Amino acid sequence: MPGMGLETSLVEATYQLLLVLMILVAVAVIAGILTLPIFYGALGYKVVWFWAMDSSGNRGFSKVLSSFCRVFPPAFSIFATILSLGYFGAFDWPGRMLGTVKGYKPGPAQSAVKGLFDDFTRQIGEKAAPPLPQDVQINWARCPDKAQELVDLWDKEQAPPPDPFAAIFPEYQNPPPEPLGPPPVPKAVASRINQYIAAARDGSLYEGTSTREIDKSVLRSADYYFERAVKESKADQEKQISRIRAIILYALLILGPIPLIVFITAFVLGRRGVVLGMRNIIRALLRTSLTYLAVFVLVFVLCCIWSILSFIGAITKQNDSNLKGIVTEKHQIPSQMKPSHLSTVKALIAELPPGERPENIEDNIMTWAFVGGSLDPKKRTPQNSIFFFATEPEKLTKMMPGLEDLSGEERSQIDRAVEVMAKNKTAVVIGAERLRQMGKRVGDRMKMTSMNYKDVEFDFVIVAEFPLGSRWDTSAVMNRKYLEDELDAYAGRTGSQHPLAEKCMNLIWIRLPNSKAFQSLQVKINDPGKFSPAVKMEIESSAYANFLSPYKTLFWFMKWPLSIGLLAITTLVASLVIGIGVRERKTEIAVLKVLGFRPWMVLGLVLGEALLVGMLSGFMATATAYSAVNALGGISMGIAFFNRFYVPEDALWWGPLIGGISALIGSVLPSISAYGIKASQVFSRVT
Amino acid sequence: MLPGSSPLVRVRELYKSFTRGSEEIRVLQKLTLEVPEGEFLALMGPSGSGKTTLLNLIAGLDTPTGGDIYVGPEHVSAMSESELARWRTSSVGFIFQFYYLLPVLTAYENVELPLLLLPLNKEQRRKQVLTALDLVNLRDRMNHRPSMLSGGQQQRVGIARAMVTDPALIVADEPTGDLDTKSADEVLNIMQILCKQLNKTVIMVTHDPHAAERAGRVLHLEKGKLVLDDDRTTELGKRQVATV
Repeated sequence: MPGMGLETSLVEATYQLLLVLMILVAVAVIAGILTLPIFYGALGYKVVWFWAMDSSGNRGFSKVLSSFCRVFPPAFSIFATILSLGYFGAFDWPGRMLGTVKGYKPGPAQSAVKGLFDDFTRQIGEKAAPPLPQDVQINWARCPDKAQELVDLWDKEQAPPPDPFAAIFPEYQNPPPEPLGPPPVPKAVASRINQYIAAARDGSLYEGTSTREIDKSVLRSADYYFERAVKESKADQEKQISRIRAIILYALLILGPIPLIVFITAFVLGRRGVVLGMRNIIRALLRTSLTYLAVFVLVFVLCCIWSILSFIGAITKQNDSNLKGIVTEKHQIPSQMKPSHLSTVKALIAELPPGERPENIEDNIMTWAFVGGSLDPKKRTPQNSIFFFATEPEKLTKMMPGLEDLSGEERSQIDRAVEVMAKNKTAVVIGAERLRQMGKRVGDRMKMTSMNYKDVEFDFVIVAEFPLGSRWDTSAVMNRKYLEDELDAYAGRTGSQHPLAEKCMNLIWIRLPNSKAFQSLQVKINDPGKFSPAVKMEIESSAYANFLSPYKTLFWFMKWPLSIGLLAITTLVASLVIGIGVRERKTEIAVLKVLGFRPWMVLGLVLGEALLVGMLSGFMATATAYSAVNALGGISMGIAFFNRFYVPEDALWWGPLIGGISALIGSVLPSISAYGIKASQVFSRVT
Repeated sequence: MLPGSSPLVRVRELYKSFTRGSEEIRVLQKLTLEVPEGEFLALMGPSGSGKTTLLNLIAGLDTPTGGDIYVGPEHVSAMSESELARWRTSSVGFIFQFYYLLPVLTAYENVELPLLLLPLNKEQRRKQVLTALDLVNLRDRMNHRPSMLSGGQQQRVGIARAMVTDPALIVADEPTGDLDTKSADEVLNIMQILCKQLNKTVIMVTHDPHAAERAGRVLHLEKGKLVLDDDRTTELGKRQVATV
């Protein structure tokens, strides 16, 4: 929180934005070039259908192929469109509009489709990347030679490769960069462990090995490497499953909606016109590729920028179906309230009339205390520093923003963690990404010296992780009771209260049934006579908005000058490229007019070509951003205490729309020029 | 049927001028002309004499500054741009010097193009396209793109495209100008067949006296006026000089 050094300053955020922008543009250009074959493949997919529809092949193979191609592309596009629409919750919209499906939770259709899709992709992933067996233990003391072999192999694989320039420039040798987290288990080690597991299963591992005395540290190391390899293989499998999901989803998106629109357009407007447009697109490879790249880069970058803005917009927007208030100290930042404030707040909630009072006060109130610390206070690094939200464990899945709507496997993991945390106050849950950075894993213990609660130490056991890709994947949560007990222990040790003992409540969250209840409670809580020091209650969204107010200019810049500038540049590039195309095809357009094509048909042809390229490019950029950026862990940019931003599902419709609109605007002038071409003037000049 | 039975094209006191800056350029001046149904007419004259302009006006690609043009019962010079476009689709076929086939379409698709604007189903279109391709003897090349055809073959595809809608009038702007002698002969043969066997009225602009010899009548234009009307359909050697 402000003043605690945990927030990112505006200057840092601006610097990061520029850096992120440059990286995004570079990534977008590379991704655009790499996806060019997919773009032409997607066009070819449609062309195949048009070919099949016109094919008069009566020879065996040609006939079978054309019959297959007549049916398969549209049938697959319909299937892919229905599946992707279902996956992204389009079929739950009626329920949302009627209020039967709550705004922030997946609806029944989405859950069903997602469940089936996830199960299917999991099965593929499990077959494609089988992990090391998870249920085999090895007694290294019974096979010390193998333990020694494993440790030697590990050391050999971890040795840095020789510097090729060391002999030439011995004085310029730099130390290798410090890795972020421990190095991954080498493939050779994983493979050797796989052999040991197979041997342990059939009993041959312990046969004929030496029983000589061996250093215990070797046994411990072997055990550590073994456990890491086994767990990492499981984690790798999960990553593989995520990748497979992203690839299949990407293919469904590319071959689903846009081709379906083209097929339907061909049915409605006539196939020949669409074929003519598509072949015009394909024949001018350089021009089409340039338009594609321009639109791709724009939509990719906008997609990423607007993902940040849309997240900020969502959290600063009042959510009436899940109305939460935040109580903080009124006149001081950071807010440091007395623990006794909690009971006063509860009493004030109880005073609310029945229609405004939550049914169960305990279930609708949560406190946060911020505990920052380091695993190595003498040598603090970003890797060994960690920041905890101390709260009531049972509130994790009831009130924690972003965790309330978890489902399936992720939800059960957090549910189990909550049970353990309730029983064992030292149990903590840490985000998967943060664990990776720290080189820790579930099951590890760690000792943390608090930096803000001076002279207080915690001995944690990690019982679960927040899923990778969630809002909490770099955060950590501990039991509030543990903090209170340690503060009591400090008092017992030193004979005096800890300086922060009466200031150890930073926030109180309250969920209320309606805005009237919020207003009533706000009046009570904001009464200066009720609390000392005085406190205030804000709605969650306005609390976030106030907290993010220093970034207002940055957000404004991202939303308006930057986005509009990018749109303008792309429209200009598209206009130039399409304009060149029209000028090159002036005679062809004149021929079409001579043959009886009306000017509006020519206009439609130019606009249609631009729209198809724009929409397909926009869609590919969005699908690439959605699949790749999210699968790779989101956009890393520190704004306040938000570190990662993910491309939202909504982008899948507004991305193509931006692409289509920018190409369409870019094609307006060229299409007007095509509309006005006079055949007589063109041919008079030619002859 | 011999040409001359009834005029298909009637041009009355036609004027066409362009303005370039403050200067008015008179391209056609008080030109009157009748072309009977089924006639093969050649228009000759030096560059800038107004041949192509006259052809464009008769075909409804341009509008005259003054005068009237009738093609059959249609008052072409009084039509709006969209009426002209509709009329051209069904009533006029064009043959260009440089063929102007669409490079992205096959021979079949190029010939089919004008039919897409008519209320025909796929089978009807296919029948008409194949008939047109048979006439120019290119059915075996129907799936080839223009780049895979020779100049002569491309021009024959162009002729098939011009006649696929069964128009009464076919206009050709130097159709042999870009062809070798053999190919030019083939093209002219087809054009003669169009006139003699299918009773189409063909108006051809040409600089080539050999091509003009194949026409039934040759009109010479100079500075926007008809200076010579050489009618070969009447007695051999009979010449009528038209002073306009």
